[in-house]
Amino acid sequence: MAGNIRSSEQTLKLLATLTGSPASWHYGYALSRETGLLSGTLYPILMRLEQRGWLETRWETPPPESDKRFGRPPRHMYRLTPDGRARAVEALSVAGKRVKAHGSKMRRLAPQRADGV
Amino acid sequence: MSIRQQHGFAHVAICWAYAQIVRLWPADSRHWALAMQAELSEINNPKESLSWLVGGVMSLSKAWWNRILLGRDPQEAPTPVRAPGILSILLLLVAVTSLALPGMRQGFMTVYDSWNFSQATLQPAQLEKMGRDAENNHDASSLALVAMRLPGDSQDKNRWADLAVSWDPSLTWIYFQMRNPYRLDQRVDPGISAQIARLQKWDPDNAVPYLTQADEEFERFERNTNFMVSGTRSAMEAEVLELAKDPVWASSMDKAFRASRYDDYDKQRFNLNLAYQQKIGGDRPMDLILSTASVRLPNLLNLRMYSEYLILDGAQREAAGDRTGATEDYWRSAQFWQRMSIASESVSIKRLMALSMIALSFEKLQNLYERAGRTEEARSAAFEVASAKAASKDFRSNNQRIFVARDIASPSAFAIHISAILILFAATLSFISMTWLAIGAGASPDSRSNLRRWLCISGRFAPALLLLSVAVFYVSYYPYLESFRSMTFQNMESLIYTFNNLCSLPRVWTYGGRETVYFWSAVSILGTIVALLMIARMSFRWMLAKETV
Repeated sequence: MAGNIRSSEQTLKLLATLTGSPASWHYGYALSRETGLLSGTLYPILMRLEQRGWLETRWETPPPESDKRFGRPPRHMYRLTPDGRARAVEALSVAGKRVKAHGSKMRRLAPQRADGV
Repeated sequence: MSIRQQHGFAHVAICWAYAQIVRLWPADSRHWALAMQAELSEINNPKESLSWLVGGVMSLSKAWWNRILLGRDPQEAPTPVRAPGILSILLLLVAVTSLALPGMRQGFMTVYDSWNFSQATLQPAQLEKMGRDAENNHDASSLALVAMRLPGDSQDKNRWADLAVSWDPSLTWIYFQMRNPYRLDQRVDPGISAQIARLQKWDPDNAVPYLTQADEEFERFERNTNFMVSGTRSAMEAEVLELAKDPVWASSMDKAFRASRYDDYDKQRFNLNLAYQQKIGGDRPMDLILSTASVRLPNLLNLRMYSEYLILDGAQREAAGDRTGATEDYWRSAQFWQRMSIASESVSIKRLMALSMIALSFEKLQNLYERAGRTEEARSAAFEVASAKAASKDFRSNNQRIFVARDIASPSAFAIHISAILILFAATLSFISMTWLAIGAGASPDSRSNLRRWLCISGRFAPALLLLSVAVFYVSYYPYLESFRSMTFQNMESLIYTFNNLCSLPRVWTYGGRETVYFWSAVSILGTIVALLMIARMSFRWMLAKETV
């Protein structure tokens, strides 16, 4: 299931971060800090991306014995699927062109987009 | 030292709150709540933890919003739902048992009658059956009730009335109460003269039998002339003088205004209806109330016309120097209305009219006495005028109090109607789910079909809803039940208003009261929200399907 997605500013921020290191798995809290998105905004976007097939998710393997004493539960991890990566690049590119044409607040996404491609 | 210990109480509280978020999250996407919860262990700052918690609450509401709009993901395996257990069955048993509480049946019948208002009173077919049974059983009072309440075109109405009166002459009063208001029934009844004669013979000191005769003449006059068309004072005076030329009318009205009593048999009518209610266990309050409210009165316009005639005649006599004759005319008018006022309940149209006519008649007397220099008598007449006007003012404030009582009754009327709807809904769901599960439980106990899911959910929650609705219904209806039990002829008037408030709530087309507007506005708003949600849900699903092509 790979559909289009509405590219809001917040979605583009997240896509830019995810395309920054497409092969790595990302954690929710780390993504929140990097993008500046609050969890109430971040997770609904993650859910939508996963639903459209742009994002793959998996649970962290159980932590080693040394970590267990902290009672830390396994965490959820995210990264773009190959299809998601292509669509993210396309979405960022479209947004970049719009920034160039209109000089909007999207301007600050441009360097990240260049890195991510 | 663990992270929880490091963060202290705030972190523990936030972890607990997150556990609740996970619990409340829709089952098919709950892993996202677990994902958010897992990140808490990485957050050391209590402020950020709190912000993460707020995000969790926001995401939870979005998840439920999506769930409502889009429904469950069809690819997800539905979570199994437990079949109703012993608790649900117990709740259902308690709810069903509580339906047998005293007065519950009366409450349901009242609500049913208000929903089905045109059938709220005894219908002609029922009355005719009752009449046949009463005739066979030689039951005079039931036969009188039937004769009194059958419509005018019924063939047996007069025969049954005569039969009831011949069996029990104390029921002769029904000859007055069985007549339909003349505006509804303009046919000439051939049996009426004999019945009026019997009524006058049976109750010769009462004004009403004579008024019954006079009403016949007056209504005939009204039909045959352009009565009250012009509406001017002089035209009305001319009409009064024309009407007075009818010797039957003039004689009947004279006897009525000279009679020592006024009794329109409203109490007897009430008692006859009440006896019927007691026979059926008091289950149809609406029948009693509506029948009592539609009590037959003498034609008030006719009464007013004769009073006007007496005042006109008095003025003419006074002008001719016959002060004694004039005084007699004014006194006759005043005394008749005083007798009528005494016989009227505190808040009825008869009393309002009587008070107004007492004031008018005594004003004429006061003026006459003043002109004659009879100061003491003029002062007495002035006192009567003031008393009648004060009583009229009291009447209006009394009426106001009744309307206030209606407003107080409104919240309970809402609760009664809403809980009655919920009882129907919950009882239907409970019945369907319990029956289906009892039949189908052995066939496929592990089935996860949607139908079984919904039946299990209904079976688990509908009995609780039923019990709750029954409790709300009973508590809300109890004051009405008590009022009905303690009903007397004297407090009937206010009870009519109270029950009318309860029963007029669903009838927006016949009653434009404020409560009715609130009720239907609430129903319309809820209906609109549900319709919009359904449309939005279909649209979102359609958009998703289009996107994924």
